[in-house]
Amino acid sequence: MAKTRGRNKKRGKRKAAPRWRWIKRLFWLSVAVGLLSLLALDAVVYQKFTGKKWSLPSHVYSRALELYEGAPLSREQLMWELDGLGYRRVAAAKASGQYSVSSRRVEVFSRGFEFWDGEEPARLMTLSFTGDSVSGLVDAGRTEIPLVRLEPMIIGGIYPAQKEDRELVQLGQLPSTLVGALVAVEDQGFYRHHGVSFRGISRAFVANVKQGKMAQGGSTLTQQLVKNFYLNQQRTLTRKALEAVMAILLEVHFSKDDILETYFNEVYLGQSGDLAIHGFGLASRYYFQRPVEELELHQVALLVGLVKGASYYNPWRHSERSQQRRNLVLDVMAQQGVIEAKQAEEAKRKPLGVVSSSARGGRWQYPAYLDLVKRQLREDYQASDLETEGLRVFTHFDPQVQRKLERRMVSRIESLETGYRIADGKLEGASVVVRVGAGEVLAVAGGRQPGYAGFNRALNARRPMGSTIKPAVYMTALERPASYTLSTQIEDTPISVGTEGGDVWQPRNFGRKSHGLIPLYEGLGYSYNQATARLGMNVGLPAIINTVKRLGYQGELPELPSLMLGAVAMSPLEVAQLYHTIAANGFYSPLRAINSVFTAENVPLKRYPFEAEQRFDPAVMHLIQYALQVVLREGTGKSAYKRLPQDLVLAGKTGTTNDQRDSWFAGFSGNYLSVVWMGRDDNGKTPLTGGTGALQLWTDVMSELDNRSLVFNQPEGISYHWVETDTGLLGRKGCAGSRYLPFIDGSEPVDAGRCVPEPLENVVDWLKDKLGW
Amino acid sequence: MKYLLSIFIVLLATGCAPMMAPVSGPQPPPPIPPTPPPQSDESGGVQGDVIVPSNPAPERASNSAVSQLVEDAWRYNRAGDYDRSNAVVERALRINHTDPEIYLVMASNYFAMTQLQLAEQLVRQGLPLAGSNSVVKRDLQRLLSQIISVK
Repeated sequence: MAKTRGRNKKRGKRKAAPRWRWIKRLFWLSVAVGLLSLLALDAVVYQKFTGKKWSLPSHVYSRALELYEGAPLSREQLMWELDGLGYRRVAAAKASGQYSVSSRRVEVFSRGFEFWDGEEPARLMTLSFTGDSVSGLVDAGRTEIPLVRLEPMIIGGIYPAQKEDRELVQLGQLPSTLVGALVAVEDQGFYRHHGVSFRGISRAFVANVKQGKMAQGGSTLTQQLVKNFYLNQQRTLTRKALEAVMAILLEVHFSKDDILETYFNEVYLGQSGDLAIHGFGLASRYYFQRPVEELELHQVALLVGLVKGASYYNPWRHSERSQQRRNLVLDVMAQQGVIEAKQAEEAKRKPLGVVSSSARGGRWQYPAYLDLVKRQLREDYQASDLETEGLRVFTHFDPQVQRKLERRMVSRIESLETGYRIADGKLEGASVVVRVGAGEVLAVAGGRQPGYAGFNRALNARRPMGSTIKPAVYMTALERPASYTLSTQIEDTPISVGTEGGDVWQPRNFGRKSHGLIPLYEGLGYSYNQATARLGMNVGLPAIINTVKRLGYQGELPELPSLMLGAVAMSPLEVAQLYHTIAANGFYSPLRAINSVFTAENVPLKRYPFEAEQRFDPAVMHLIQYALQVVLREGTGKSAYKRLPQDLVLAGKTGTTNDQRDSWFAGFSGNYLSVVWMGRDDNGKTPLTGGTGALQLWTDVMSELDNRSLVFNQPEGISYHWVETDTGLLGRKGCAGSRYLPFIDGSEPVDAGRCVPEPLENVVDWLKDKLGW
Repeated sequence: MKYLLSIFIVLLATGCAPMMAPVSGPQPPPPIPPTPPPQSDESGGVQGDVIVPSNPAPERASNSAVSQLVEDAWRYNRAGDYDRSNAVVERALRINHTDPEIYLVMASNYFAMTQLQLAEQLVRQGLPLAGSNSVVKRDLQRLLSQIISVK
């Protein structure tokens, strides 16, 4: 029996042994799997943290404002620029990012900035003003400074479909109060625990049990970072466990400072439309329009308060709630010894200090210009690089010009709608402003609501350009001085042209009136269609098309007679390109929005330099610029001088299309070129001509800019003569009907007209002139 | 008759009488005295109702910012840092695009970078602006000759 029992026992042992073996095996297998998983998890934690942490959108910057004696900048304009850059107005500027104002002076402590051509150091300077220009610029030691640049403004970004933006900061950049505040409020044991705080968890557990709900999280900063950086927002036990393990792994590999710096850049702190604001660097600019280094204590506390819930504590929508949270943060900071209690009390008395809701879109409110930047960037960069590599794109965008353009666009369109009884909201407009000579696009308005990122008419609305094409017809003729001069008599009478399709093209003048024989310059100055059509048919369509292309148009053009009167459709930007070649004396320079591109690490990547190519003879350009001045002095654009100074030399051309569906004006001074289009999106009729519509806005805009006169130098090969305008023969000064006109040498008339005096009279005239009789 | 009398009085008054030869015999008609053009200011404009050309006068004399930038650009040019030189002189171009020396610096940079086509175009753009600035005009012309000889 006993033997039997002993055998059974042995059998039982034998039976139990394989089970234990299996359990052991399973145990070790689990350990192995666990270890492997841990290793895999560790690899994930390590690789993501040491690799490229974020996809960074590219940021787009404006031009840098140049300050120098004689700069066309008023005190108010400088203050506006400084406000836009987030400078703080104080009684006396003592640190970067501050300025003070007296009646005729502004003292600025600039911020330094690394430009393509060198570093601009931070410095204290005083600017004095006379009228609308800078009359003096001295440094702190009262030594004159020839030139200083302010840093450019960030005007927007290029984002992927999932819009998330951040501006990376380093721990050393941050105010010590910010670091102290975050640790004091979010994780007081941060520097003691190893990723997970069991004390914190216990405290949160007790608090949650007491309140009967999830009131506290108990997560350390490291866990919060893991959750945001590696995991998702799900509240499951598995996720929590994973979070804890990964937090420990993170702490094994990386220093507290590395973790904290990543946290400062990762954390979600707000929402601007569909753009998520991440990190304290960007949040500082978003809420206070200033770099994080310049934050004051009450602002630091507000941002730290937002970590708990950026939407719930939104300072614009819930200012009271936000203020309470901010004050709580300040109290905690004082309790934890980050600041003195007195400092906390002082900071609590301050208002929230966030920028006004209208200004907060500062860096995202120029969508039309950004469209142009993106379009030009796409020629050199992949969309994915632009959206993820954090490039820094420096442009020629001038916020001062843009502001004036936008303001005037809105008011002029509204007044035209009222004045001409156009249905509200029906009239649209678009405009481009370019710096003459440099070919830099300074401002773009894509519609009557400039800040609205809708259809960009300045770039994408191709509308018949009407008479704004006519300079190309006249230039084609003037390039043949043996046949055409400004005084050549051309016929402004009805004309019929048969087309290939069998139709007959019969252009009419806008006023339905013919003018008979007229001098060539008058055909352009008064925009006579019949005269232009006749001239165009004589010089030939292929030659005109060639001229339009040399002016800078890159598309295809139909060889149709109606082309001569502007049946070809172009965008305002394309028209600006043509007119810039005219303004730049026949030198074609591609219009540029971008100045240079830097990597996220501030390494220069590419510059977009000025280029020029001579496409027309300077003598021909002198003639066409003369005729375009006639437009504004006497012709269809003369109303401009009702509001612009008489001594300002301007040139330009109106354009009106059939049934007044499009109203255009393109014109320039010595330093600015602007093109304006007005019309309806549904291509409906309007009561506007180029002169009554677009020209009015053009005049508005030009009247706000610091225009210099067009430099109308007499080039070699050009001479001026008095000519009778009704005969084209030589005339005389003072004789009715005589006009002082430029001619390409050898093309001037040789036959004397009725005004030319007999030889003796000439001598007397000469003597009279000499003696001043 | 009225005219003859005027001439006589004037010539007497100015003391030029001996210089005037009597009009006698077949003489070619005197040339039409050039009508003095309307006076123009620097930037051209309108005299009465007449559009007139401007006098080519470099404006830089009054702008120390442009002078400083051009000077800096030459310094970078001499150091062989042509990209930086161009970046600097483009700032001057923004302030005053009618200064011919700006084009001279840029053209010199591109010439050094053997971008001859662009260098030539820039010289051609600067030349009409040089006007009375004989030094810059001479330098532009010299550079143009060099470019053409290399091409």
